[in-house]
Amino acid sequence: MTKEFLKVFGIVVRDQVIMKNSVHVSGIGTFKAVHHNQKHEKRADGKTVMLPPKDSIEFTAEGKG
Amino acid sequence: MHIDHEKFLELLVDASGIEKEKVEKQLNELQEEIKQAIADGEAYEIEGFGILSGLGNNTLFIPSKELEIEINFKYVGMEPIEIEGEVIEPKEEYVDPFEELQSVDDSKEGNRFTDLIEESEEEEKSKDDPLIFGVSLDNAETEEEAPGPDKWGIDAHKEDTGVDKLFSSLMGDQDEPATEEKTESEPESSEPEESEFKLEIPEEESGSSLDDELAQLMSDDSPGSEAAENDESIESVFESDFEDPFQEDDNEVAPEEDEEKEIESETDEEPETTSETEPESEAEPEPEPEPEPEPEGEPEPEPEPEVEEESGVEELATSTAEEDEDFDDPFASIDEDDEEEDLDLSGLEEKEVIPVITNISSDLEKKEPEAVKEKKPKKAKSSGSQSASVWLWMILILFVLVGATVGLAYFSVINIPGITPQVATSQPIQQPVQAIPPVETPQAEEETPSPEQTSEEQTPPPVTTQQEQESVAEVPIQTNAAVPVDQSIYGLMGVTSAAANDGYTIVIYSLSVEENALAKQRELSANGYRALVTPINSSQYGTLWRVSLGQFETLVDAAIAGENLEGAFKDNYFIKKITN
Repeated sequence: MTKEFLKVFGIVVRDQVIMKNSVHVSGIGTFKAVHHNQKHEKRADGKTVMLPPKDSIEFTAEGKG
Repeated sequence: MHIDHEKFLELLVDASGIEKEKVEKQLNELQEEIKQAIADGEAYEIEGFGILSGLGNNTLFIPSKELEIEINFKYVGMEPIEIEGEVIEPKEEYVDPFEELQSVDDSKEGNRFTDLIEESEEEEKSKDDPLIFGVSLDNAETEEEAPGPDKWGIDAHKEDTGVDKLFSSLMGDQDEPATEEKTESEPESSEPEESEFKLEIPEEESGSSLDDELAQLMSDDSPGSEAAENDESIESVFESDFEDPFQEDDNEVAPEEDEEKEIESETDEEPETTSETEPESEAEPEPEPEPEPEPEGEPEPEPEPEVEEESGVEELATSTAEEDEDFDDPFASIDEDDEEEDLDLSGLEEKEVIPVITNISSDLEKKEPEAVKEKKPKKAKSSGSQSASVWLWMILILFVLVGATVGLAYFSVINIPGITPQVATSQPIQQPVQAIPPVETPQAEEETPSPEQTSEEQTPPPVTTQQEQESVAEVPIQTNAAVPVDQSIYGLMGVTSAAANDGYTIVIYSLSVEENALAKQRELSANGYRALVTPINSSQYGTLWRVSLGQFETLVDAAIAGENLEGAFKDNYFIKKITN
């Protein structure tokens, strides 16, 4: 297994997740993008902050489905 | 869309250029290494991608910072905003449309974007279905099932008012015959429907006067006769509930008639009265007592007030008839129905009834004209409210037009000073710009650029990554590919032109590594797109590299092109000005 392969592996998974596709890698699991809506958060100092929306990557191990 | 293992292998083969067997072998090695590491309680890191580690029986994936940023390319630069005061959290849960699409796609294999189109079409159809011809079927059903009191007041109250009217008119004795007399006495003045409708107005007065009359009658009658009447009426009550109220008229007139009939029997006038009463029920018996009691000298207060009432009714009827001659009476049908019911039940009115019930009915009778009176002004106002509603609609349309104009001006479709944002019409900033030698570009082209290129880009100095990070202006990195002479300045396909950097572009990637961005640019250029790579500075993430497609003169052009993009980028892009 080469470094080049690992790099390509990362790029392919990333591109598909950016396109909102879920990627299943046999023996490892499934990578999937999850959207989080913007939300208000009250901090300890009493200030209310609106957090921007964001996407995160979610991993589900194989067999944990 | 779900990428399964086979498809993932194909993508790896395409991206790496390695044979499938080797890719599969390396992937299996990676899989074994990860499993081994997790089994040993260690974490396995893939550089630039993330860390896989075991926690109990679960396997966790911690994405690398680069991957997190690149996934969030749409929201790069959006910082948390401090809000003053209490803010109510919106209750509605946001539903990610992509999740739904993804879940749908998970079950299906095939082109994701054709599925999306089909789904959106289905959704549109399902939305349109209930609104056939602009009328909601649901509303129509509800309207049919439960007509509102305002809109369908006539129908809704038809039965109730009919019943009330029936009872009140029958129990209110004097009034109904009076109306019938009117219709008989004035057949030429107006239609029976209208006259009857109008004659309902003075019922309140006549009702009250009738109560007085009834009280007088009750006081005048001897207790013995009253008791006899009560006995008879009680019997009739037990016979049937509905018969009682109809006998009021006779009950009230009975004491008079008994006396009168005795007198009439002497004068042999009875045959005439019977012949008159037979065809038209009890409407006739009333006028007879009027002329007769006077010669006999019997004190009867009734006839005079009746004449006054009738004259008053006539006046009101004629006045209302004049007012409503042109008006289509919506209650005509109701009145017709009532009249029919009255006529049907007229035969029953000859029976006697308890006077006490008459009082109750007179109360009911009083309420009814009020309802009629309340309805009348609404009709009069309807024309005024219509004109007001027309004005409201005109104002609303005016607002919409103004809003649309401002919107068009804001998006630079039309130019209105003060509203249209100032577009940098001057020459775009031409700092750019490091020449990234494309793989295919021969060295000779760089040495002898086309005349256009020489005029537009005068020996762009190579800019290092460090300099790009420091640069404030977001300027795309220009390729050295020669712009064809016949190529239009703006467009989606072709070669990027520095002259078109004052326009808009469709951003499809924001990558944290320049090399990856440039690789994407080369790939897109090879597919014929005008691919731009623009460095942007983010205080949160450092320098990011935006890969975008096309150069468009206006935002609208870019939006149209975005809609027509190929499946891979559709619905996953944003439009931005090329240079800020």
